[in-house]
Amino acid sequence: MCSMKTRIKELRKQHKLSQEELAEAVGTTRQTITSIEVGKYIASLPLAYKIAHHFGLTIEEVFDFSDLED
Amino acid sequence: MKEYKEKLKTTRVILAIAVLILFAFTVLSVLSECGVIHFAPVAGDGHWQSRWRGFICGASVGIGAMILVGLIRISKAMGDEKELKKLYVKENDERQRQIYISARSLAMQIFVIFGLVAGIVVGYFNVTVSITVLACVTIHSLIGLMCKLYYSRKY
Repeated sequence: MCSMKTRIKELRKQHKLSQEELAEAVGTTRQTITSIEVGKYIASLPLAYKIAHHFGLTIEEVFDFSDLED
Repeated sequence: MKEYKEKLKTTRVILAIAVLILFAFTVLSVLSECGVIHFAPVAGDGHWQSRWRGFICGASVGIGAMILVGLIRISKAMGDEKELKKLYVKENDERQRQIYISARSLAMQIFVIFGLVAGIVVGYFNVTVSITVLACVTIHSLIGLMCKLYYSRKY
């Protein structure tokens, strides 16, 4: 499975949110947020939407799809 | 969350019944060991039967205790909204599900490969064991195939 770069960590820092708080807000576990941040796990479309929506951004603004464009 | 609560209620009833059945098995095993009732496997001598009863009793207590822990956890969560949400997130976390699916899938492949190899190797020494192992692998593979067909139609 390929990995995916995200801006979640950066956005979390901007919003002063911990992984636990973000996980609770989007209905997932802290471990899942950690794995998405380090690129070990690719979030599903609903979870990606929830995360992006939580920061008031679109999915493309949070997740980097440039690798898929090749 | 309401649907999840209903599901937990049903699970709680099923688990409670399972605990009662296992408790009954434990009591039967103990009574049998004390000689009050006759509850023993037909094969083997007295020593073997006693060991087997001990195994059944131990397994009943072990599995019963595990189910009881689950039952307590569910009951605790049902009385506290925060705990309920935590349990819901833990059970429905997509990464956990992905891990579970991947692990099960790999385990099934390993089981089939090792089962086939074991069945063939053991065949040189004991036909009964070989047939039993190969039958297990075949049934396991058939169930896997049926599940695959079901999910192919579902998605």
